[in-house]
Amino acid sequence: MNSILIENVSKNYTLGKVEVPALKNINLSVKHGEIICLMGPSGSGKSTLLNLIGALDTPSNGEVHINGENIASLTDRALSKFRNRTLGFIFQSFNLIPVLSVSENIEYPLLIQDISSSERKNRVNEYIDAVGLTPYSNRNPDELSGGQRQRVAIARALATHPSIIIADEPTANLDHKTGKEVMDLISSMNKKSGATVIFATHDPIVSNYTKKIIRLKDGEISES
Amino acid sequence: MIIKIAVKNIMRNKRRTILTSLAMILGIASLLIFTSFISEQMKGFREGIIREGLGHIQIASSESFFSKGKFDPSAFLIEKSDSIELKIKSNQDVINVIPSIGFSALAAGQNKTMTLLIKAYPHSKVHFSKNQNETVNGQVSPSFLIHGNNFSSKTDEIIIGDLAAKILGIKCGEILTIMSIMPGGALKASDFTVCGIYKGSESGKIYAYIPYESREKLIDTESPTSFTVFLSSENQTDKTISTLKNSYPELSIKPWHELAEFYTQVNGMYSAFLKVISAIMILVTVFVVMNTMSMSVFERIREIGTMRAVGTSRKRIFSMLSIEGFCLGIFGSFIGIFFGYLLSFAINALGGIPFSYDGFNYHVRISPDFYDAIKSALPVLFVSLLGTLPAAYKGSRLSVAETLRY
Repeated sequence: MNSILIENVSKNYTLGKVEVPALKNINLSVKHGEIICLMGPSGSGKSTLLNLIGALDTPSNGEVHINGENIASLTDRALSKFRNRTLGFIFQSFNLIPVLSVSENIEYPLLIQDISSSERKNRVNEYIDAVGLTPYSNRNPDELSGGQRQRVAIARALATHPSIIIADEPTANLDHKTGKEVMDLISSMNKKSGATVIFATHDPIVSNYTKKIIRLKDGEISES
Repeated sequence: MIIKIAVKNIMRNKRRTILTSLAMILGIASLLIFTSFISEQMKGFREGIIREGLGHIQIASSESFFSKGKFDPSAFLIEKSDSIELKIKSNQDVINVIPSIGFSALAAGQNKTMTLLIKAYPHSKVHFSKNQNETVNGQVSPSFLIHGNNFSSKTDEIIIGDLAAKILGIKCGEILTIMSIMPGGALKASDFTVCGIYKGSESGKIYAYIPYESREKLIDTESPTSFTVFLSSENQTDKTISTLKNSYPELSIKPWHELAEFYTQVNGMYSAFLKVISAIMILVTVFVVMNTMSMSVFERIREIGTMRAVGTSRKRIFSMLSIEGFCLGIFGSFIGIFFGYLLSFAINALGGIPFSYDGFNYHVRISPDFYDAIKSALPVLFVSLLGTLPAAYKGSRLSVAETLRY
């Protein structure tokens, strides 16, 4: 069974009175545990496709199936629950909640699930330890470096035990060395959890970690 | 954690939070001080009216006595008054029952004559205070004496207002001749010695007081036209009236406030004024909170998007933002109440607010009532939540993909 199945998906945006196509008739399938990389120039539709796979947006045409579930059929409440339990997000700008500490940021998505307090604490400690940030657990995001913040985001994405991890330009705001460290971390986590990982990137380092690269150009898959 | 995030977000932009709260704090504190000032004023006014002769309860032979009794007292005499007085006194909440009769009469002094309204109370149950600060409980106390003394046991004494004494050119110890007209038209006159002159309010200028024991010198009756009843507490008024009405269905029994028309008008005017001030404060709070929360949501669009991406539902985002506005309201309300109390202590430490009414000078002390404090804060709390709702709704309805592009 496919982890992700995208059938004839198009996405159009309206700019004023003009309809701009962002994705044109995309077909894609990703198996469980695969690591794939979406590559392409700016405006090629990488982030749009990632948003559709991440149930953050809905297609104008076609269907997106995640773990066999057609996301267009879900209500907002069900979509929220689905994102929380099935997907883990890693963003280019880290997107941590600035008023929460490192451990609270990791704990936040777990609070939405019905997980006991002791289990939450265990998971938070486990993932802080896994990303090597135990000494920083009470610090706020603005007291961390870019690499440390991205590690918090990785811990947050993995703590819910998602079956799919979506990473949008995870190394774009990091230097070469830190970017490589972050990719090593994601890769090792993928081996441990067996989750499907989808990257969108320009960074050639990222492509070294994937077996399958999908190249997008003008909203279409040009090569896979 | 939602509450924690809300509180931390409030503290995130301290300057904006302080400015928003300041509007609430000043509004609540001012309203509290103003409410307390009016409440103290009205309390003094109320107690004054009760002491001056209305008591807590007035009992008359019929309803029309209260409008026509001054002009024709003989038509409103209460029969078997002694037994009624004794029975009313036996009520555990009653501390004094004072029979009285009032009528108009001509007063002739050294060179001038004027009409006075005479009120007759038992000499031991009427007491003019020695100064405006002396409080008299359970007795009729129309005002305070500026010359002379209260009634002794003699029956030919009279106490008159300062203006009447000036018009009549009369001093304490001098004789004043009082003439009244009997129901049949005959005149009845008697000499009275002025034993005291009191400071008259605007309405008290035409009143004079004689001992109830000497009423027969001027009016041909032994019966009173009314009873003034003083209770141990004003709160017992309705209960006692109900008991008395059961015992004396033939009598007209009224609480003081039904007869204090001026008090009711002033009270109504102040209440309306307070409502207008509250409405202004509420409007200001709504606009300030709406503005603050809109800015707060606008600044955190990406953050809201992240929360939605990791699985936060619209409902939860809406709750979080609403709690934020509500916490802002709680913060503003508590500090506002605290500031109001602090301000009242400062005012009292400086001697109170000076106030002058009808020639009487007071210093009104401010004692904020906790119930008033809550009453001032609750609408602010409510509207701070209300003011948050549009921003909270907007924040919760944002498209996740769009918010993450910010």
